[in-house]
Amino acid sequence: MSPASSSSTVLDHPFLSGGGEMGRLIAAFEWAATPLGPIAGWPQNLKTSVSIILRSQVPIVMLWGPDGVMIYNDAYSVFAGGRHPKLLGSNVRAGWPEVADFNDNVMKVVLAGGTLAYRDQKLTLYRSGKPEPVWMDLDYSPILDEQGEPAGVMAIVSETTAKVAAENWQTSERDRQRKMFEQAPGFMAMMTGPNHVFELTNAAYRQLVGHRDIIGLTVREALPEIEGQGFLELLDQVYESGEPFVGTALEADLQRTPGAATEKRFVDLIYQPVRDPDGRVIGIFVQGVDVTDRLVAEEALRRSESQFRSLAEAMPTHVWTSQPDGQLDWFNPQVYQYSGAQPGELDGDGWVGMVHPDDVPKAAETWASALSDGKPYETEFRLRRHDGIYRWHLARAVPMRDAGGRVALWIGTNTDINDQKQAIQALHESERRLQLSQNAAGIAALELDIASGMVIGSEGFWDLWGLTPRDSVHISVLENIVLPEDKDVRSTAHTRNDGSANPNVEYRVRRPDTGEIRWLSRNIDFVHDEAGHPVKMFGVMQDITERKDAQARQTMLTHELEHRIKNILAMVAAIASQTFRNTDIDTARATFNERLRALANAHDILNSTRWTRASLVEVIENAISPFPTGQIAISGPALSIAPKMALSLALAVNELGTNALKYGALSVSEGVVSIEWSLSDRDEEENALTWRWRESGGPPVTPPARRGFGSFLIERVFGADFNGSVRIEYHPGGVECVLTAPSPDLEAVVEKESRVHS
Amino acid sequence: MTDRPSRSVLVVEDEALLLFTIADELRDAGFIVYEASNADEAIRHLETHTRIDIMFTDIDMPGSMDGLRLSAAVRDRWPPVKIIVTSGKNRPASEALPAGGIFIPKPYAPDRLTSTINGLFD
Repeated sequence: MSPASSSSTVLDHPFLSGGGEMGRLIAAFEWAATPLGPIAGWPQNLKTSVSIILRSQVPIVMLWGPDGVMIYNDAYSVFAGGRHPKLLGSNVRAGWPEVADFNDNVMKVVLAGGTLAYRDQKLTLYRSGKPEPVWMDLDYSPILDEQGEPAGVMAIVSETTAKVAAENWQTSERDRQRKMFEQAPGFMAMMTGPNHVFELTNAAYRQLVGHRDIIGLTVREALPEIEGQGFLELLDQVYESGEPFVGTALEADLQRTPGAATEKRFVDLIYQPVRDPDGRVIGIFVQGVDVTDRLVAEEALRRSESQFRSLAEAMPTHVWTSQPDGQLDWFNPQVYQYSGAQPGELDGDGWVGMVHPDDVPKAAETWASALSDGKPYETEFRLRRHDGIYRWHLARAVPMRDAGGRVALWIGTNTDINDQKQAIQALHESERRLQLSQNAAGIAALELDIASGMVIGSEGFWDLWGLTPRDSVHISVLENIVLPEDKDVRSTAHTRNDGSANPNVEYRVRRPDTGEIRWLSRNIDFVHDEAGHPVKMFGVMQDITERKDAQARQTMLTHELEHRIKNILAMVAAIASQTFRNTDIDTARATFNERLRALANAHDILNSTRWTRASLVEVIENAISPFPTGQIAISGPALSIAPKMALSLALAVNELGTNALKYGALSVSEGVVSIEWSLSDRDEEENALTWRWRESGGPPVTPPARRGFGSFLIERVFGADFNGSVRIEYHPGGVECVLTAPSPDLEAVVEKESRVHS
Repeated sequence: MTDRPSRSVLVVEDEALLLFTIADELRDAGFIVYEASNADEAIRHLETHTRIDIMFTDIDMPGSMDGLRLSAAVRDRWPPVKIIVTSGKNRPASEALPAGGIFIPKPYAPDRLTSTINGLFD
C-alpha cells in the first residue's frame, strides 16, 4: 500500500466500487503526480471508461493522453506479471521499454482516430526479468472526449502463447510424420473406399510399383498385374471385416519398370483397416517390406550353410569352425563322439582340454601365428579319446574371407594319423634296426635302377667302396673300382638288362680312398616289371677280405699239414724199411716203436715252435728222457736248429742212447755219457760246429759186427741233415760220436743260402 | 734182370732219411743210384754222369729250384732222361709236369717206384 492511499478510498469515488483489487489501487494512487491530476478533476468519459474496464474479465489497459498513462484491470495485472503494480500510472513507453517502438506506433495511429488489431502477435517481453516469447491477440481502439476527439487508447490484450505453441507443435509433428512416412524404409500406402483408391504412397511404395502415378486410382486400375494374385481379395476382405491382415514372404508379380515384364518379389505386409470416428471402415493402410533380396540372400546362405553342415557332418574326420579371434564355435558330431564331450564344452578354448599336455604349447603357438598371419594352420597333436587314449591327429584349418578380404571364419579338420604315425615310427625303427644290424654285420644294402644305372646305398655301403657318403652313385663308378681281373665276375650292363648276372659273386676292389685291395661279396635279386624285364636290382654287400685271408691261410695250413703228414709218413715208411731189413720180427718191432717215439718227441718240440726252428738243448733233453738221465751230462751254447736237423738229431741221440743202454756206459750204473757242443767264433769256417757224444765208465767196447739202421742213421742221415760229417769211434773206454758241421744257426744258415743263390 | 745193363737213377730229395732210404732200396733193386739233396747237386750229377737214365725228384725242396723247375730244366738240357716226380702235396697240374713226366704221390712204397721205373723201359 502506498502511504498516499490513506488520502483516498473507493468509498470516496463511487465509479471505482466493484472494481476489484485494481479499483482499490486506483483510488489510493497519487494521481496528482501524473498528467491526469487528482481523480476529483478527471473528466466523465475517463471515469466511465475506467468503471467499464474494471468490471471486465478480459485483460484491458487504457493508455490515456499523449503520454499513454496506464490504467488497467485485474485481468491485465495477471498478464503484466512482475511489472504489476508499478505499471499503474506509468507512461506506456517507459512501462514496456522492450516494446516501446511498437507502442509508440499504436499511440500515434489510435490517437489519430484509427484502430489496430493483431492476431497471434509475437512479442518478446521481460515480465519476470528474463526475455520471454509471447504470442498475443491485440485490439486497439480510441476513447473519445466530449468534443469527439481521441483522448486515450483502449487495448484489449489476450495472450495466445499456449495456443500458438500447441499449433506449432502440431504442425512440426505432422511434417515429421510426413517425412517419416515418406522416407520409411518399408513401403506404405493409404487407400480409401471399397474400391481401394490410392490416397497416399511413400517413396518405397512407388519404388515397388515402378514409380507409376497411381494417386486417385483404384488398385485395379493402378496395378492391373496383381489381378488373380489374391491381394485384391485380401483387401476386400479386410475392408469388409475390419480385421487387419498380416502376411510374410508373400509372392507378388509386379511391374517394377513401366512397360517391362513383371518381376517376382517377396513382401512382408500388413493391411490395417482405417476407421472414421463412428467406427466405420473408410480405408486401408498398407505397410510392408520388400524382402526379396533378404530372402534370396538368406536362401543362398542357408543353402551354403546347409551344404557345409551336411558335408562337415558326413565327413569321417573331425570338422570345426572358429571365429576370426580363434574362438572355436562349432564341431561336427565326430568330435563329440571321439571326445565324449557335451555340446558347448569344447567351444571357445574348451577344445584345448582334449590336446595332450605335451602338445599344447606348440599347438597354441601355431594356432596363434596362423590367426595373426591369416595363413593356413597345420600342426600335429595327440587328442584324448573318450576312453582316455591319446591318438595322433593332423590338424589343419583354412581362413574363409569375406568380400572385403577380412577373415570371416576358419574351417578346420583333425585327421586321425595315429596308425600312419605308428607305422612310420615302426618303419623307422625297423629301418634303423636293419641299418644297425647291417652295420654290425658289416653288411651294406644296395638298390640299382637298371634303366638309369643309379645305385642307392645304405649307410655302410659307401665305406665298403671307399667312397664318401652320398645319396647315389652311377654304377659305372663302382664298375671302375672293381679290379680289371674280376670284370667278368661282376655284373655288366648286358647281364643286368637280361637278368643273367650271377646273383652271388665275390670280387676284388681297389678302394679309391686308400688304394687298398679288398674282397667284396655281392648277393642280388632282380625285380621284374609286368613284362618280365628286370627293372631293379636289390642286394647286399659285405667286405669279406678277412674271411678270404683266413680262407687262404686255412688252405695253406691244410696243404702244409697234409704235406707234413705225408712227409712224416714217408719218414715212417723209410724208418720201417730200414728197421725191418735183415732182422727178426720181434726185435724189429721193439726197435721200430722206440724210433717212432723218438720221432714223435722231436715232432712235439717242432709243433711247439710251429715248425720254424727248435732249441738244440731242448731236442737233446727230450731225446734222452727215456734213458737214465742222471748218468748223462749236457753242456753247450744255446742254438736254434732247423726242423729237419732237429728230427735227425733226435733220432741219432735215440740210436746212441739205445746202444749205450744195451752195450755201453748206460748198461752199468757207473757209466757216464757226456754230450757237449761248441761253436767256433769264425762264422765262415767249414766246420764251425762240433757236437760230441762220449761214453766212459762202461764195459769194454768192441766194434759191432755189422752196421745196422743205427749207424746208417747216425753216419749218413744225421751228418747229411747238418750238411756236415759224422764219425763214430769205438774206443775201448767208450763210444765216441762226433759231428762236425757248418753253424746250424737258423738265421745264419738262411743268410748263407740266400748269399749262395743270389 | 741181370741180363739187362743196369739202369742209373738220380734221386733228388732234401730229406736225408728219405733220400738214403729210397736210394738203398733202389740199389737193392739193382739200379745204379746217384743221390742229391737239392737241385744244384742234381745238376752237377747230370753234368758228370752222362749215363743217367732216370731222375726221381721230390717237388718240395728249398733252394733256387724246386722239383718242377728242375724237371723243366732237365727236360730242356737232357731230353732223353726220364722223369718221375713226387710230392706230399697235391698232384700238380699236368701242364706243370715235364713232357712224359710221371707223378707218384708221397708216401710211396719202394716196390711201386721200382715197378714204375721198370715200366718206363718196357
